Amino acid sequence: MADPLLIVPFVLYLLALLGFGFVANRYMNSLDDFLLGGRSIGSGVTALTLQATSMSGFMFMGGPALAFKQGVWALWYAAGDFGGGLVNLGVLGRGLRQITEALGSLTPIEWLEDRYPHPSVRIVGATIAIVFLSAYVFAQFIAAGKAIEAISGLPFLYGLLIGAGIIVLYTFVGGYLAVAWTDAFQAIVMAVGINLILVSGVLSVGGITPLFDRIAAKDPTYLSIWGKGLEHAGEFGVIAGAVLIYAIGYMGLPHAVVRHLSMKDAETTKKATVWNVFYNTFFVYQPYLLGLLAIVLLPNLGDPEMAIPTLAFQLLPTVVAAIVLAALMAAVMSTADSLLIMAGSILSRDVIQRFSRRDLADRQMLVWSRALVLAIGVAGIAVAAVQPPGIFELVIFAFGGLGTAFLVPNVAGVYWDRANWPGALAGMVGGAGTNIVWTAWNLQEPTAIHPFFAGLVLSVASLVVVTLLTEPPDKEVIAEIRAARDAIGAPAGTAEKSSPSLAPEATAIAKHLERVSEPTAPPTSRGNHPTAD
Amino acid sequence: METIESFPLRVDAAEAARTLVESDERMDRATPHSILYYPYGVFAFEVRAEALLNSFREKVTCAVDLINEKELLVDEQPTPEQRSVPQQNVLSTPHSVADVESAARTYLFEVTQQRLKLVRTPTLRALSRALLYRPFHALECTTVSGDEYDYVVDGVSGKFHRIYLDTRR
Repeated sequence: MADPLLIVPFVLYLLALLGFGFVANRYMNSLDDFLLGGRSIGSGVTALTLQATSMSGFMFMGGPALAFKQGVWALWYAAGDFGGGLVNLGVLGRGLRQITEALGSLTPIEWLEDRYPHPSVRIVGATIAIVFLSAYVFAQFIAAGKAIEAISGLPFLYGLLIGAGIIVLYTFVGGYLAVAWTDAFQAIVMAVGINLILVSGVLSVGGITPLFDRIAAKDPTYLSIWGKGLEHAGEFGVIAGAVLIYAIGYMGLPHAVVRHLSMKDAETTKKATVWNVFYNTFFVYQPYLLGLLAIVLLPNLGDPEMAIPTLAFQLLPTVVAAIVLAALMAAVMSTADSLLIMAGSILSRDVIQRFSRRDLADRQMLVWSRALVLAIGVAGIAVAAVQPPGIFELVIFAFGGLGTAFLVPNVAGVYWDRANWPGALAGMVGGAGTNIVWTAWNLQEPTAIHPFFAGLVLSVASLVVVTLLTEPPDKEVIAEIRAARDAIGAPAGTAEKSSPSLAPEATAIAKHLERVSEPTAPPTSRGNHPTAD
Repeated sequence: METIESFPLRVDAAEAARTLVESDERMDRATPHSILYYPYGVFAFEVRAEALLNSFREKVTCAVDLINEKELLVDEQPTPEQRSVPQQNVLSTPHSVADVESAARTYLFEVTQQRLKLVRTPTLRALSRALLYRPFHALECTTVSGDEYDYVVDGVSGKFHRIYLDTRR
C-alpha cells in the first residue's frame, strides 16, 4: 500500500509546478513573450534553466548505480565530464568557432553539411541523431517509470506506462510547465535535495574517512581505479572510452537554434557560463558519491538504480524525499520533452522539408514531427517493457553513438583539409555502426575495449581510408576554412561576447566586401567604402 | 546611389566602435569604415493559436535573410526608414521576398508549435510583406599588440560578429 505521505507531496509538487506555470503565463500573456522567451530573464535564471533541462535520469539513477556496482572506478566518467569543457576547448574550441563563423553554420548538422557539401551528409547525420536521441529518451522513460514505481509502489510496467504517457502528453500540450522560472526553481530543488541526502548520509556514517574505511572493509577493490574485483585491470581501452565519452562526446550532441532580432539592446547572458560552473560544483560529483554511500548504507539494495530514491527515503523526512523525487520526475520530463522536440524538428526540418519535392503544408510538417514523437514513445515503451536496459548503459549507448558519429568528421573538418564528404559519411556510419554492434554483441567483454573507444577508432580509420580513395574536396570550401583557421584568434572577451546568430550575415558581408574591393585590388576591403551616414 | 527601405538605425558608428573596444581590455581601437545594408524579407502574420489554457490572436513579425535564406524572429514590427545609399554598400540577392514567404510561414509555424505546445494546430494569416535592409557597421579593430581583426556590428541590436576577409588576394 502506497504511503500517502509520499504520494501527496509528490503529486502536489507537480501540480504546484503546473499552477506556477499557469500563473506565470497570465503575466506572460503575449505570444511574443513565448516566442522570444528568455530575453528579459537574468543570467542566473537562464543558467539554472539550462541545467534543469539537461539534468536527466542518468544523473539520478545511472551514475549512482555505476558507483554502487563498481566503486570509485565510476569516477572515470565524472572525470571526463569535469575535464570535457577544457578538452573541447583545446581540441576544437577556437578552430571550430572561427570556421563555423566563417561558413555561417548555426547548428552542428548544418556545419557538417557546409564543410562536406553533399545532401547525404545531412540525411545520414540527421538519421543518426534521431536514432540516438530516441535511445536517450528511452532512458528517461525508464527513469520516470522507476520514480513512479518508488513513490506509488505500483509495478515497474505501470510506472513506465504512466511515466512515458505523461512525457509524451507533456511534449504535445504541456508548454506551461516549461517556463524559465519553474525550470530554475527545479534546478535549485534538485541541487539542494541531492546535497541534503549526501550531507545526511556522510554524517550518518561519521564523515568522509569512516565512509571510505567502511567501503574498504567491505571490499578494498571498491576503491581501486580498476573497478570492483579489479574487473577492468589493465583495460586501458575501456578506461579510455569511459573518460573520453563525456570528455569529447558533447561535441556530437545536436541542438536547435531560434534566431532572434531584438530591436532594443544587445544585453548578453554570457554570465550564465559562470553560473553553470558554480552549479556544477554542487551537482556533478554528488550522484556518484551517493552511489558510494549506498555501498555502505544500502548493502542489500536490489536495484542499484534506486540508490538515490532509497537513500532519500532513508535519510530525509518522507515529505522532503517525495519533493526531491518529484523534482527528479519533473527534470526527467523536461529533458525528455526537449529531446523529443529536437528529434521531431530534425526529421521535419532537416530531412522532410529539405528533401521534399513539393512545398509541404504546415499541417503535414506537424504530422511528421508528431508521428515521430509517437513512434519514439511506442518503441521506448516496448523496449523498456520487454527487456528494460539499464539507464546507465542506455545513456552511454546514446551518448556514445552521437559522439562516435560526429566527433571525427568535426575534428577532421577543422584540421584536415583533404577530408571530403565520402570520408565524413564513412566516418559517421563507421563510428555509430561500431558503437551499435559493440554494444549489441557486448564486444567490450572479449576485447577489453569500450564501445565508444572502438567506435572512435573505426570512425577515424573509415574517414581516412575512404577520403584517400576518393576525390579531394572542393577547393573553394577549403580555402575559406583555411583562411578562418589561420586567422589570429580575437581577444577572448570579444570572441566570447560575439553573437553566433549573426554568422550567416557576417559570412555574406565578408564575401560582399571582398567582391566589391576586387577592382581596385587593395589587400583587403578596409577603408574602401563610402559611409552612408 | 540607391534608394532603399531599411530597419531604423539605432546604433551609430561611434557606439558600434565603443561596443567592440569595451568587449576586451586588449582591444585598443575600432575604426568604422562603412555601413552595409543586408536584405531581408520581413513578414507580419496574424497567428491564431489555442494552447492548453489560453488562446492567442496576435500579430507576429518574422524575417528571412534573402542571401542565406535563414529565418529569424523580429520582436517588434519595424518602422522602415527610406535611405539613399551608395550601391556598393547594398548586398545583392538572387531571391525575391515572394520566394521566401513559405520559408517564413513554416518557420513561424514550427516555432509557435514548439514554444506553446499547442493542443490544436495554429493558423497563420499573412498580413504584410516587405523588403527591408538591415544596417551593419563594418569596422577594423586593432589590439594593443597591433593585431587586426574585422567585425560587423548590427546597427539595430548592437550585436557583433567577426568577419574573415581573405587578405591574400
